[in-house]
Amino acid sequence: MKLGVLFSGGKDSVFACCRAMEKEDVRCLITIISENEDSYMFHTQNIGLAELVASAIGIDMLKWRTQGVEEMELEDMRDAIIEARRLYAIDGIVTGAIESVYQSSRIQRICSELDLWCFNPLWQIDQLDYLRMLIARGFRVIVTGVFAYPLDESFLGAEIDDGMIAKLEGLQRRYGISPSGEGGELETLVLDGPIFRRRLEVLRAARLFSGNRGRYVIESARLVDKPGHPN
Amino acid sequence: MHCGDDNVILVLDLCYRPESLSSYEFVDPVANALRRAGAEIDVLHYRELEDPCIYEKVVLCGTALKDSRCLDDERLSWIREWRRPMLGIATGAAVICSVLGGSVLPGVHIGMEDVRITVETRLLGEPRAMPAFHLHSFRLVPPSELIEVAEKCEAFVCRDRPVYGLLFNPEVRNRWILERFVKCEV
Repeated sequence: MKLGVLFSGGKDSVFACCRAMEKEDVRCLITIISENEDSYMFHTQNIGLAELVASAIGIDMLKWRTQGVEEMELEDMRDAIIEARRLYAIDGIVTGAIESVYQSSRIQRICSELDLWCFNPLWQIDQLDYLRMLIARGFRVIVTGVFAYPLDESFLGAEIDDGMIAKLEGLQRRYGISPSGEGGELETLVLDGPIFRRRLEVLRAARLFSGNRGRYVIESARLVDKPGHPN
Repeated sequence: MHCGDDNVILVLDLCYRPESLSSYEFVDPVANALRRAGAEIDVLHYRELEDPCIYEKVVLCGTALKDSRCLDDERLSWIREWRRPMLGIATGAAVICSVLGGSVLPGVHIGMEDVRITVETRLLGEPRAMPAFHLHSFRLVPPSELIEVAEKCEAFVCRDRPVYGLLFNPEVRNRWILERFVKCEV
């Protein structure tokens, strides 16, 4: 089956892409670039870097812009999917939805209307198990945004490792923080992983933190060859 | 049908092929919820099932909206004779309805919406409305052997055995139903 993956470069869409590549034929990555930083539907942090992540994985990327107005952005996503089907003859869409009934229902409806398959290979996954699995599978993931107390500046740019997972587990118990950021608490960028032909290297970045919100703004990054991987 | 006494729940994958991309979405969440409820489970694809009789209970999982190829598959005809507890979810409910002689008609239903329970059962409890996640592409016309226990046949139970069907997906927001299926005499 030929598939397109809704793709942000964050851990959920990258791992969903990985699972899809293991089972089916991923033909393209579809990135919706929202001008609304508080979009309900789309990951907005460092979205410009999604193209670099797509290059690192080695799959074509279709970029589609939206103003990010609620519900209108769904029309924009629908148009993007129609274009992906025209260009790549895809039979279905893959998303990285985990818990959000809001997101997944809307994408399911669009796929149903377009007579496309819809796959959510992370759906209802245990979030701590998922983070551990990402590390065990060799993904290198950094935090690029924090949006909830008590996540602080120390998370920005930090790599998800066993220590961070333990910290997130504690915050889940104490504050109800969703460890994988399903509630919009944090956003991520994947630098490397088993499906990457090349890896990302961050050359310059700035930490911006105010109140309970912070961003790790990557100003410059490059692709680096991986020994043993064809480019 | 003679059945053994093994206290294991069979989680039956009805997706388009064994170990498909859909199984992460429709089988794993159900299997994980049953495990968390303390059940010992086996997960098998319906085409790989040799002997259902060794299981104490069976859960038939859902599938993707476009995936209905298990409906009317003769390899599931053993359901007709099954007397032990069984729970069909979405496509799994449609399979039970179809095998027992009911009709499965087109009707897409996606998202959170109230299910109106109209008949008290051990599995779902007393009549009331409860929010549930729907992801299926059909509506059911049950045969006389099935009692409709929620409006629009969104849930049913067999008249003479503990065989249930739910058109909604209990693994999303209603895991208590799966826990009850594990722990209680349904």
